[in-house]
Amino acid sequence: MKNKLFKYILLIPALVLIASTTIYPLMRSFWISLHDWDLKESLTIGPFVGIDNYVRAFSDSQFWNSILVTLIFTVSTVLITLALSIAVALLLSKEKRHLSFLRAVLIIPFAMSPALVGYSWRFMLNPDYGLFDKIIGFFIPPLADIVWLGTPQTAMIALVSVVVWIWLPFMSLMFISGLMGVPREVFEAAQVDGASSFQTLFRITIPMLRPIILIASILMVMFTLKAFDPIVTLTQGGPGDSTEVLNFFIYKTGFRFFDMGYSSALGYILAMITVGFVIIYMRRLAKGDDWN
Amino acid sequence: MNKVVDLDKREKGFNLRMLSSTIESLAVILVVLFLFLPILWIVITAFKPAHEVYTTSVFFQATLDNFKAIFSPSFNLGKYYSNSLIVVFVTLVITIPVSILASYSLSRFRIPGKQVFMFAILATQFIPLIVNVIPFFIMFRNWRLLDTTIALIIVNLGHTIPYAIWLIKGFIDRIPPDMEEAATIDGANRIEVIWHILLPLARPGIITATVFCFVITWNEFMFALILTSQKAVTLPVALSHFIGEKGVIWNQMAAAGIIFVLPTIIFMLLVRKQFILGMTSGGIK
Repeated sequence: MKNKLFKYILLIPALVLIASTTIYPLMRSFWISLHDWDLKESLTIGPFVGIDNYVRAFSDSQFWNSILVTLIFTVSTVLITLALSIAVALLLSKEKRHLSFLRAVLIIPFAMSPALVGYSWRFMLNPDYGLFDKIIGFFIPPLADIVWLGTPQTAMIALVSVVVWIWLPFMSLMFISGLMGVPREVFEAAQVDGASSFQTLFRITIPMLRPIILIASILMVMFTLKAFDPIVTLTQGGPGDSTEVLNFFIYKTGFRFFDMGYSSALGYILAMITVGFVIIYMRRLAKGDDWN
Repeated sequence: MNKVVDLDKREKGFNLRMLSSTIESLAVILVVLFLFLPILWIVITAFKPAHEVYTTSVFFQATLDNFKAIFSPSFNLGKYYSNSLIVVFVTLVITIPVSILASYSLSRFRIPGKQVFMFAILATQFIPLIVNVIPFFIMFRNWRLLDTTIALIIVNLGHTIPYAIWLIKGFIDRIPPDMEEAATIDGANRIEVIWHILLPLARPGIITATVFCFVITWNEFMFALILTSQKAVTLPVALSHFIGEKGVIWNQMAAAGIIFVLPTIIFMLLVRKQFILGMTSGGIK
C-alpha cells in the first residue's frame, strides 16, 4: 500500500510543474486561438470567433508565403545537414590521433549560442568588411559583388548555411558514434570479397546507419521547424519576407502586431504540421520495425 | 607479361590510394575551416582595436580594450551575466531533483499510462515553444512579472524538465535494480535507497542532463527576447545591444560573445562522451 503511494509522490512535483508550465499554457493558447484579440486595443480577451482565425490563415498570402519559405528552408537544411554529417562522420571516424582530437573539439560549435552565431555570420557576410564575403569573392570572382543578405535567394542560402553550421557538429557526432560501433570485421569482410569503396558505402555503411539516419532526420525536422534565433539575428525574415519562416511569422503577428488570436491559431497550425509529421514518420518507423 | 600487368595494376592502385587519401585530407581541412573559421574570427575580432575591426587584416596590435569596455558601467555586462546565472541556476536547482524523482518512479515502478505519459511529455517538445509564450506573456503582464528573472525561470522549466526526465530515465533503465533490492532487504528506507544507491550509480546520466539543461537555458533566446526588456535581460538578448544607431560595434560584441559562450564550451567538453551516448541511446532505445 505504502509502495503504491510512494511512486506517485515521486511523480507529483514533475507532474505539477509540467502541467502548469506546459499543458496549461498550451490549452490556454488554443482557447485564445478561438478568439479575436488585439492586445493593442484591449487587455481582456475579445469575442469568441470559433475557427475564424484558422480560416483566415488560409486566405492570407503572407501565411502561404511563410509556408513556402518554411518548406524550402526545412527541406534544404535537413537534407544538406544529413548528407554533410554522414560525410563528415565517414571522414572523422578513423582511428587516427589528429582525428580523435577533432572529434573531441567537434562539440564546440554546437555549444555556441545560436544568437551569437547568427550575429557573427551577419558580420562575416558584410559586403564591405566581411571575412566570408572576401573569401567567396577571392575564390569565385563572379560572386564578389553579391550582398549576401540583400537578395531573397542569397539570404536563404546564408540562412540555410548558418543552420547547417549549427547542427552539423552534433549530427556528425551521432553518426560517428554509430559508425565506430560497427565492428571492423564487417568492413574487412567486404574488402576481402572485393567490394569497392562505393559498394561498401551504399551496401553496408549506409544501411547500417539507417536507424540513426531515421532518428537524426526526425530530430532535424523538429529543430528546423522550431528555428528562431538564427532568423532573428541574421535576416529578421528579410529582405522583404523572403526568409520569413512560419515560426518567425507567428512571432511577428503576436509580438509586433499584437494580434494574439491569430498568432495562437498560426502557432497551432505549426504545431499540427510538426506533430503530423512526427506521427506519420513514427508510423513508418514502426512498420519498418526500426523502432525498438 | 603477366607480371608486368600485375605491377601496372598495383602501381595504379597505389596512385589511386594516394589520390584518395589526399582528397580525404583536403576534405578534413575544409570541414575544419567551415566549422572553426567563424569561431576563430570571433576570437580575433574580440582582440582587435576599434580601427581594425572593419578590415579583414590579421596583423594588428592585440588589445584588451573591448573586454574592458563591456564590463564598464555604460554597457554593464556584469548585470546581464548575473541575470543569466540566476535564471540558469534556479532552473537547474528545480529541474534536476524533480526529474530524478520522476525518472526513478517511471523507471522502477509499474505506473498505469506510463508509455502515454512519456510520449506526451516528448510531444510537448514537438510543439513550437512560441505557442507557450503567448499565454505566458499575457499572464505575466497581468501579474506584473514581465521583465523579471522569475518569468524566465517559469517558462524555462517547461522546456528543461521533459528533456531531463527522458535523459535521466534512459540512464536509470540501464542500472540493474539488484543493489536497490539488496539495500531494501538490509533495512534501508526508500529515501536512503535513492540517496545512497541510485544517485551515485545514475551520476553520469544526471551530469549529462544537467549540462544539457544548462546549455539550452544559458543559450535560450526567444523567451528572453519576448519576456524581458531591461532589468531581466539575459546574455543572448544583451548581444543585440551592440547594434546601435551608428552601426554595430562588432569588436565589443565579439568580446561579450566569448565571455558568454565560454562556460558552455567548457561544460560541453567535460561531458562530451556521455552527452552523445545519452542522446543517441536514449533515442534508439
